[in-house]
Amino acid sequence: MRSTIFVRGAAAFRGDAKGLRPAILPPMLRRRTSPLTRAVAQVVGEIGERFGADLAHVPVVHGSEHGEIAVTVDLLHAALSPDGEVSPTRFHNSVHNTPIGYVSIACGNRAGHTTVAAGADTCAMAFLEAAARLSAGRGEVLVVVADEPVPPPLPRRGPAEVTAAAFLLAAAPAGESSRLEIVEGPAEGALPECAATAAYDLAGAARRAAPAACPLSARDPFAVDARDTTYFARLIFD
Amino acid sequence: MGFLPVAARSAVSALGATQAAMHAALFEGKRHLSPPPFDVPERTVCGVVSGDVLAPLRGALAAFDCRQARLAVAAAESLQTAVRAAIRRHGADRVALVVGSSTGGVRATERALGEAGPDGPLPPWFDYDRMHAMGATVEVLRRLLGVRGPAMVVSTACSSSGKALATAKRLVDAGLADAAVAGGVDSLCVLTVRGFSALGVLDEAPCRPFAADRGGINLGEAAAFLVLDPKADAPWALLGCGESSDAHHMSAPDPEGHGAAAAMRAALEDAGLGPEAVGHVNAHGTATIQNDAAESAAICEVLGPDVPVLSTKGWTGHTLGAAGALEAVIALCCLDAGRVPASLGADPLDPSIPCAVTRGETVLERPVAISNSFAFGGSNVSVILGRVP
Repeated sequence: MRSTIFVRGAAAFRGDAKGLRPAILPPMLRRRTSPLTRAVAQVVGEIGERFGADLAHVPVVHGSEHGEIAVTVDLLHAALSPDGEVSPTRFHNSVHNTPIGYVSIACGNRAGHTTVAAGADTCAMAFLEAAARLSAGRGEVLVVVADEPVPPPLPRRGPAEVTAAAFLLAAAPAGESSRLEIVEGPAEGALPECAATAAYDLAGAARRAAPAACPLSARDPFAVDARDTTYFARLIFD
Repeated sequence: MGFLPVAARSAVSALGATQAAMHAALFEGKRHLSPPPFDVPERTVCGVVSGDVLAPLRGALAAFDCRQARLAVAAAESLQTAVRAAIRRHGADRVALVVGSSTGGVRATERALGEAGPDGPLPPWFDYDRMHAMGATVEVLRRLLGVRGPAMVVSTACSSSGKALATAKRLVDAGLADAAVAGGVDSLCVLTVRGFSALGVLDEAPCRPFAADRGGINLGEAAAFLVLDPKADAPWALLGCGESSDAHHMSAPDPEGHGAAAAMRAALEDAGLGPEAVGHVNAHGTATIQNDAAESAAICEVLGPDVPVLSTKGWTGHTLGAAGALEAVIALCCLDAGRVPASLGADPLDPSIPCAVTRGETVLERPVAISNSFAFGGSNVSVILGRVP
């Protein structure tokens, strides 16, 4: 399997997202959001500002392995305790598409958004979904892959800090864009710890404008069955 | 873009585990709702899948054993012949798997946290990667079915499995796969019962979509899948899918129904059909005041006031991430029958509902159905199923 698309811009964030004040999120909305949602809004906003993406109309594909897992674990504790109060806002903030739901509201974006999850292949599947949307040969798609650390008492999974990376993708080359080939092939080399890290590293390579082959698959949580193939991205600057 | 023949379909829900049971339950108009299968302070009824179809998983799938995986496997097992045929035709790495889910295996995490108590360690049987994580739902089905193409969960709350059908169609239209298994699965859990109760939209009594005195939703659980294979000789096909966002509110629909209307229009465009081709609507029809008002206005705007409209939530409850796929299978059941049942619980109909909610069994005049799913985050999808052109 091989698919070619073009990268018009990339943005990435990693760190403490609690204090982020993304320009696209009005304070009224921001107050209700988690650090993960803020990180997604931050990188999406950067794509709009630096690369002129039309955030009110571009379709958005969001990838996340674990979703709003910190909100979910908090909510589970409340829901399971006999006198626990379940907050309606936290409940609707616990769905996997929460970050991109807020972004669509903030930007007035009515193009269909989607959120995909696929374990170690979450980043790769987000790019494939985008490639499918671009196959008609027109337009742009914004991909944003993001995750936060999975909190205790669940096992340590996901990135060590909130991580988000966004990519403005197009079907055809324009300006400074680089070519990106998504390839499925024999597993080789060390894979990143999680999907969000794979996306973060790819965004870094795209920003440095240096040819690179980046793994799109992460280390497999089902490591007992070694994978024979993984997905990777070849960045080509023509 | 192109249509995708439905080579096989399957669903488990409160309507049973077979197509015959689904048909009988729909046209008998009997309620199948029962109390939640766990302790919660809320009084309500749910669409519960009978325990005798949810056998513990064995062999290579045993490590994934939880209610979510059992539901998925119970529905997908009967598709193995059609999936094997697709693999023979196209190769395993050309068959995609797209599964809609909003809960994933969170019910297993609830049980584990319950056993652990406030500070204790999680019990040894609990496996986050193979039970809770969204990736687990994909992995267990990959192993069951032997498909090796692109595989992912679509998780956009209550539109998840409608959007899974849209993604599957897009992957095949784009040539990134040659066939697909697509559908959805969600299991009942404490989190969703308590969460919808906190939002003030949970009905204690059996839900009454489009009724004048409707009082909110019941929850349900289900798994449903379609095998979509362009080379299959089949009477029905996935004809088109359309998606939109409300950009209005995280949990309330746009009262004007603009997003719902946009999704239906996009699906018609994808199918290359005009509104006059549609023979019936399987509405999202959750029985909340807001959804049913906004959706019926949108249906009326796009399809006119006369097309028969059915909500099946009165039989199954709202099966959340599984609803889009389950209701696609129900729509196909109605297309097979050539008629739709009376919309369960809709009498007495809300006089402000402008569209033609079915009040009795209705003969279908056109072999095309449109099915809607709307979700938190303002995430909308419409799918169109009908006679292979």
